[in-house]
Amino acid sequence: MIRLFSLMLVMMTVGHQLYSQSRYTAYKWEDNPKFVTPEDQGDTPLYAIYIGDHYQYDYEDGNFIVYKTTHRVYKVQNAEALERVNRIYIPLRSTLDLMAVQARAIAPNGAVTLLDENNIKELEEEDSGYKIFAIEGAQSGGEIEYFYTQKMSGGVFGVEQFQYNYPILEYEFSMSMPENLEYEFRVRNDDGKVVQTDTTDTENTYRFSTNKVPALYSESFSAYDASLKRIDFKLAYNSASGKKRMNTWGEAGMRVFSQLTIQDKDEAKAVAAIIKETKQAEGSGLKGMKAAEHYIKTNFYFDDEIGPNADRIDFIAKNKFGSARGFTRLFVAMAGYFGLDYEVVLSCDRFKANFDPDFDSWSYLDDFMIYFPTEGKYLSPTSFSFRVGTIPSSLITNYGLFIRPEKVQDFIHPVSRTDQIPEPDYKSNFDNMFIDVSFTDDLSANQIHLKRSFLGYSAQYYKAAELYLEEERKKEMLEEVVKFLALDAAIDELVVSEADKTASGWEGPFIVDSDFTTSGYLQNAGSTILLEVGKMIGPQSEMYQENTRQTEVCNQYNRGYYRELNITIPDGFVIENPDDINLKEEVKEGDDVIYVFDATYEISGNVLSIKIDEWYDRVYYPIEKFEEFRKVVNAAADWNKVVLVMKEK
Amino acid sequence: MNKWVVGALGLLNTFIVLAQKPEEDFAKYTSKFPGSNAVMTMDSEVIQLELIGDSMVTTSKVREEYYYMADNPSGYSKDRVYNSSFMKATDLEAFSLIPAKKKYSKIEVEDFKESYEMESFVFYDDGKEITFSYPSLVTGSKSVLTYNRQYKDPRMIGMFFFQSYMPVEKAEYTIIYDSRIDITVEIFNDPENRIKIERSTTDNGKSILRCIGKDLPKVKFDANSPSFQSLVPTAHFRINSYKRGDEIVPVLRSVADLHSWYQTFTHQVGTPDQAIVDMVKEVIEESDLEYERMRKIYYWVQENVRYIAFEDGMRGFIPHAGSYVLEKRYGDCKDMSSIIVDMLRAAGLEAYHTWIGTRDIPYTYEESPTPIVDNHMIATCFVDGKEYFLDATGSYTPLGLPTSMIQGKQALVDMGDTYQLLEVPVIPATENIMSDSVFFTIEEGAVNGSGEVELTGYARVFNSYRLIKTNKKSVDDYVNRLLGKGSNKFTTTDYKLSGVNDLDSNIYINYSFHIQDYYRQVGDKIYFNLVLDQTLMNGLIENREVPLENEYLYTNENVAVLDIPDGFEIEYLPENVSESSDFFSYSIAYEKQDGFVKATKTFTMNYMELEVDQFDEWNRIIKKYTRACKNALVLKKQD
Repeated sequence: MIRLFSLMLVMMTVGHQLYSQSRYTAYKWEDNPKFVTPEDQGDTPLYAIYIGDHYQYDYEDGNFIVYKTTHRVYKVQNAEALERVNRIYIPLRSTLDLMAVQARAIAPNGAVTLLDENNIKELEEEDSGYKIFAIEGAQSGGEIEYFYTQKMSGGVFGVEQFQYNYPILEYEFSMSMPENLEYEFRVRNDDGKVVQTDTTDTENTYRFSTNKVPALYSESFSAYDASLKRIDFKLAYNSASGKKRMNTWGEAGMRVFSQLTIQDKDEAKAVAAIIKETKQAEGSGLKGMKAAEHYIKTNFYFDDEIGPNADRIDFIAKNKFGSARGFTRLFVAMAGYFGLDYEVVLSCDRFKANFDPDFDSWSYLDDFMIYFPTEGKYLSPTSFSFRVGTIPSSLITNYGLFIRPEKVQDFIHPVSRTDQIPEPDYKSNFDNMFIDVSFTDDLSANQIHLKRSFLGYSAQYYKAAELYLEEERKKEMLEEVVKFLALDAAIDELVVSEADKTASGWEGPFIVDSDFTTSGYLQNAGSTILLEVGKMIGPQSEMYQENTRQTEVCNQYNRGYYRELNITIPDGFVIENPDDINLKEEVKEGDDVIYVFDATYEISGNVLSIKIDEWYDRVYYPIEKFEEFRKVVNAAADWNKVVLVMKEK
Repeated sequence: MNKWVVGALGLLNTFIVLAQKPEEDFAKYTSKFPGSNAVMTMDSEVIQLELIGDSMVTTSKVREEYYYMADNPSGYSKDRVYNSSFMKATDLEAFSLIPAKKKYSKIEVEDFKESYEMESFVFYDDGKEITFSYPSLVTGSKSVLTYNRQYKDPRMIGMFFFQSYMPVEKAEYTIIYDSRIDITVEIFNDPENRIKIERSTTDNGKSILRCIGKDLPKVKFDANSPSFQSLVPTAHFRINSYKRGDEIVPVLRSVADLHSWYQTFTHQVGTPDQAIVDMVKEVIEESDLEYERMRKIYYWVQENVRYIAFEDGMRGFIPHAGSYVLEKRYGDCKDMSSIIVDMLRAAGLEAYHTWIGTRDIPYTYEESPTPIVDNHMIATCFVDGKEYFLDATGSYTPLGLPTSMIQGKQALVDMGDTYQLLEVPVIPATENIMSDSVFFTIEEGAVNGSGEVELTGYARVFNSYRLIKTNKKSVDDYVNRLLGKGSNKFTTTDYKLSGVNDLDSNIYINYSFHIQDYYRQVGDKIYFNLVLDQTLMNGLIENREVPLENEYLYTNENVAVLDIPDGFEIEYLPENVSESSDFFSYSIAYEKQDGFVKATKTFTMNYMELEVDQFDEWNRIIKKYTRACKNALVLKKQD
């Protein structure tokens, strides 16, 4: 949401003149803190006794401002707990004034140590930075309490989180504002609701509170941050300027679009110069776009910390680096040049938050994409390892705001809608292996031929790495592709057979061929050979230790793993337990198999052929059916442990 | 600007590379540094020392030039310069030189952004970094950065590195100084004598000392590598003394000079006041002997004062008084030693502030009597003629163990007007042990049993950090990982921790466990690998060019006792194997007992730093060890 809303302040001043007098009331804590000894919290040396987030919106001297108070009380029962919460950082971004900072430590014997304000230090930075301090006199077994009130520019959108990896005994959220303003709220991952508690002649107030919020711990195959309880809010109405809903998707679309459109001649010239540099001046359609994108992503550099200059295309042309917005503006201009129908898409990292199409909060508008509806493809302006057709997996399946430029008479008019960004199926992301295995003459090691091919995310990662890395690092990276299967591998040969790094080759697979020798699969048991065939597919994810599942299943992306192993059994030996190879677990949705692990074998002559098909074809899966998903994941991990007993005939 | 400075600037100008054609440069650098994406063509600092009146004036000019051969060098655009209250960067100028047909065109950097440094291990740091990006870098571009450095105190001028993470074509460290100033420059880590020292004189009689390194390869860092300053050729600079009229003013001639300067930071602390005296009365008993007093006070500080690091101007050198720390209950290393010293003195013990460098800093005070040598402060206490190094920043470190990061280091003990240099011991592997003994039965592929883990020394300390957490789940997860063996199907079904909160006790974990699908039973035979612990298997060192550092020496012992199922007998018992070297040894021994079979595996990590020329031998032993871990016991059903 960064920098989208510079105009917001101006807008919000409309109709405020009625309220020139400040209604700010200073936040107060209990003068004499109660020392809380709640019932058994023995398992959690750290917990919050109280967390409060309080907002007072107001108009002051023609500006829309907010006094935001952050209040925390923690119980700290050991050194680790104390050190988690004894260093306080107050962010100064958007902060006009720090109205109050108070902190105290309450020792187990009840003694109170107050913060000496002289010990508050500042980490200075233009327009941001932090005020920091450490809690004084804090002791294990005691409490830490602090609050601070920031005077800030009035936020139109916001988020407050009220769940952590420690429990909260009491949480409180409140908001007050002049009565012409109306906020809307959505409480996520919790059944509670924010309620309007009072509508007087002069103000509106809202409140949410809850008790005993359990800790949430991270889990594998899960979107931790997005699963935390939180409140999303936005300013929806201002009766002083009419009855219309404010800050809608439509308005966001208009604003974003105008910011992405070229404003002056210098920029227009820069676009032309860059297109010339990409050697695509004659290009058109997606083909031209792809080639130009490839050129830009291999010759330019993305850096979002430079400042607003880097949003301009003439800056990018000169420096060869630019910001997210700068590159988005460039690609939008190029889409126009190549005659492509396009839509600008804004969404957010789904591991942090799910975009809610029914709640028009602009806080979801973090990441830019460009969508080409005719081709059904997405382009990420800032992910320089990916080319059109592949976007970061943190954005797939999330909803997004789609902004389409429509020509109305002679004007371009942006039209907005929300829609879901699709998840590519498992066939578009794979890591497949074809492995031929034989034994050395003395049966002390295996000779392996491996053909490993990647498509999709990992393929593009390897291709990008090949572009940027020095020779030495490239070699090490490729060796890791082999050593994934056998740490002790002595590599005789290692070649990338599909080294096409051009724009057209980018979508293709990345294929590594290697010959190596390893003794890593063999265990000695007298005259018997124990062949750890399961290890030949490399280490597998497992969910053996899962406790009670707290969150739904969330995968990075859909993916497939197909493996074929052909093992030449040494003369004079026979496999005693080949049926241990067979293993199948699958999950169906209707007739579709969405998750599967399926291993089978055949023996013909002295060759044992194993085929393993494994895929995951739904990014999300409900918590109620977690066990089914887990069975498939663990099937792969179980297969990893298969050992064949080979005996002399 | 006086003449002399102008002269020095003229000297600087010689650095500017004589105009060469872009294509010639490209040919030159790609053939000279093949496989590299970039090269640092010039890394230079010129320090001028001048006596004006009674005071010494120091100026420094830094110049860094790079050449980029990469297909896409834009990733090298970003650069930064550090600023602190001791060393301020001014007059920054940076530009790119972009190749055109016959010459380079210059594009200036326009935006410099200053921001604070936020590091996880320092809470407040007054240091800033100035970041900027070189514009328009393409293959064959150069970048140039120049700035002036102002040192707050000439004693803090410090050092210069001649190598980098990319090859360095030329590195020059130059000191231009008034003949009334006596200086020392020493080169460390240069066994091949790659750094040359030249001496000359300016026209107006100033001395020039120049250290030059040419065509130095890049340093390839890796995990657990010794620090940069342990690896690369480094110049240490110090001013010994200067003349004021006929008088010789000492600066840093020796450890004694360094200590008398440091003394100005500590002389105001170290006298316990009433609050400290009162606290000590609460902590110790009148009847306690000296050792007991020390133990109680050290543990009290560890438990009650939290470590928070500050880098705040001269506060980085000056400790707070013990009573201040007592009130705040937090402090940095100096504050923690200050409160320990105060409390110990209040208890009638002999205790001193002690400067020390962590293992990152590979020099002794005698080699380089400068502030470069230390970065830490502890307390030293003498009891019954024995010295104890008390470092309360190590929360869970028992008395008698130094923190692992200062093992083997020289300590400068501040005894008021005098000082003493002592060496902190390296704790032997026999004192840092993790031993794990399990007894189990087997049935249908599964293993069920119970065991005990004992942790001593540093094994105790480092595991404490993982066993004292903010919630039980973290502890459960960690215990399961720590005990885990056999396969990732290992589950701890129950466990009990003891000794965690008693620093003088070893830590014990008594547990029961289960491993599903661990072994094969095929026909009338059971194949069972008794080496359940797989630590270090396949721990080969590859693609590594720098030594490998170990946090501490240690020993691991694993004992597994299998209750042979009824009706089975041993058909094949693997052979005993052992091997030892200076840096690593192991043994695996099998023993038949009545109805049981026992395997004991022990290994010892006996290096603090494994050198590059030892890697082959390491790999050879590890391969043998790995093979030895992969022998299965065969049990056969009795007829």
